[in-house]
Amino acid sequence: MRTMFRSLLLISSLFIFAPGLHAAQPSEDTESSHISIVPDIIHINAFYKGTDVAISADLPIDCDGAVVKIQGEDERITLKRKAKVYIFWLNVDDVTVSNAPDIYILNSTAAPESISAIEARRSLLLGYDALMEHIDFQGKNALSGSEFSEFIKLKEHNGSYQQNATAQLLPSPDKERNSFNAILPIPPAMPSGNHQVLLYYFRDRTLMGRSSATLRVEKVGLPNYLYSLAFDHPAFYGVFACVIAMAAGITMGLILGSRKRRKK
Amino acid sequence: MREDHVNPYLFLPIAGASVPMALLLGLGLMVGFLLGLFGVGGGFLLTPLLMMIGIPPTVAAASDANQIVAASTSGTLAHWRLGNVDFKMGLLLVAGGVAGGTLGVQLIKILREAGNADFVIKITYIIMLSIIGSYMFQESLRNLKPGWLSKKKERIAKTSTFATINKMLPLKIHFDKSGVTLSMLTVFLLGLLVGVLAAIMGVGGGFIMVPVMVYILRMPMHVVVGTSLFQVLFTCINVTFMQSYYNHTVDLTLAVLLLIGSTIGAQIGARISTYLKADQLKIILASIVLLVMISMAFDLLMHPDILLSYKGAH
Repeated sequence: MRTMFRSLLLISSLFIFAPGLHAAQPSEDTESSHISIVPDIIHINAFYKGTDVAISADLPIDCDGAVVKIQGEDERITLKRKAKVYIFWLNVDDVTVSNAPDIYILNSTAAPESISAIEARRSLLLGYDALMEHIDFQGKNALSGSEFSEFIKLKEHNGSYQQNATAQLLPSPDKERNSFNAILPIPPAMPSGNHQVLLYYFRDRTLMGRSSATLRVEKVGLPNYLYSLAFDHPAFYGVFACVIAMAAGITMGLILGSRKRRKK
Repeated sequence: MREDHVNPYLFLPIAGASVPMALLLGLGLMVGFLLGLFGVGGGFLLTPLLMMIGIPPTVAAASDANQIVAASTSGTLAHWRLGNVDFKMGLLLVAGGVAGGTLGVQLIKILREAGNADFVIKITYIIMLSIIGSYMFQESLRNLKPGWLSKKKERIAKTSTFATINKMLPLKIHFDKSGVTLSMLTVFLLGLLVGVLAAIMGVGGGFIMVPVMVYILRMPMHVVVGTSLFQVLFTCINVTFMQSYYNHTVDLTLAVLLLIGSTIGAQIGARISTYLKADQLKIILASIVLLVMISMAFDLLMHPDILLSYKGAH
């Protein structure tokens, strides 16, 4: 009895502690998964117009697909929905959208559905079809079913949502590694703060590994000052905006008025 | 990313968008010109244009109001120098407009709860624009045609219903600049009506106020422009402050770029208005109003590109 119990204990501990006996789990500390992002800090100044971030990583040679994304915080927003009333297209009611990331920028070596299985796409939110199941739409009236596609169009309009399949996975000259390269276009509407850049790589549609790095976005200079003023001191900002406007109007009036008098 | 030194972009922190500076200056110039020429705020033109270039609707409307403060200050100053601002009339219209605006906001709330606010707003816009535009166009065209003088004399000889009502009301005062004698109540109530309509349609009220001043109050066109600018100034100061305080939607960077263009445009418009006859001004304004009405009707009838929109969009 004691011997049987000890045997069982030994076998159990082998299962718990021995590596490689588990089902394949994504490893975050493989040498090949270090991700590099350039630039890793984006300064939004007065003349900023968006920028591209270059992502690169060395991945295992047997990896056949990879996806990189930046996904923001889930938010809850209320939008207006248009529908046809008689012959007119009008805003008929509100639609509340929940669990929608404020930013979703994805690039992959091929369409996400060809790289990874549906379960991985759902749990990791890879691709718009996975996102569709994550985002919730609620309206006072019956929904038409097209809300998700319209939401994607709205978000893509200002660059907040992007899904591309232009990333590259090329074997290194020594055939030891795959070199992964992708570009993530960062829109002007990117919120400030730290954003996680997440890389997933697959073989035969099974997740091999993942890696992450931090992209920092910060407003600097005049945009930062005005943004803080508008939200932290709104009354002062409102008065300031009016005073600036009136001063500009009076100044322009005086300048152009005095030029006219000199011409006479 | 290639640095664009030829056409620099400007980042708008509240709007969260980057736009070419030259484009913003050009839009401001155009709107300021209309303001100086007609006394119309241009909000009904500029807000949709800003939305087209990627500015969120609420920020477009609020920042537009801010730049109109600058352009209308510049235009009011220019018209004041030309002797075209009736401050007495303007202040009474402003008082009525503020009261009307408050009423209009409550009316919108009731309509929204009833679920058909958007339909009422859009149809009101189209009806108002078509009535104002076609009436102004027709009347100005008639005046510009040969032989209009005899018809004009006939019209003056008739006493309008409005004049009859005005005679019965108390608190009459003479408005020196406009050359009319009206009851203060009349002016206040007209301002109230315009305020209600402006609140429903989400505009400064200039394009409603100008025809009211011309056709109902019978003010001379050049005084109408200056006085309308004065009224628009106060309306937009109120809107700018409210939008900043309650909604945080005024983008000062956007407004400053627009106002640089619009203050120059307003001065140019004010000067050009002195070279045009009143009926010529009216016919140009009527044409613009009718074009905007057609554009709005077109938008209502055509399938939109995106069926969802952020709140604050038209």
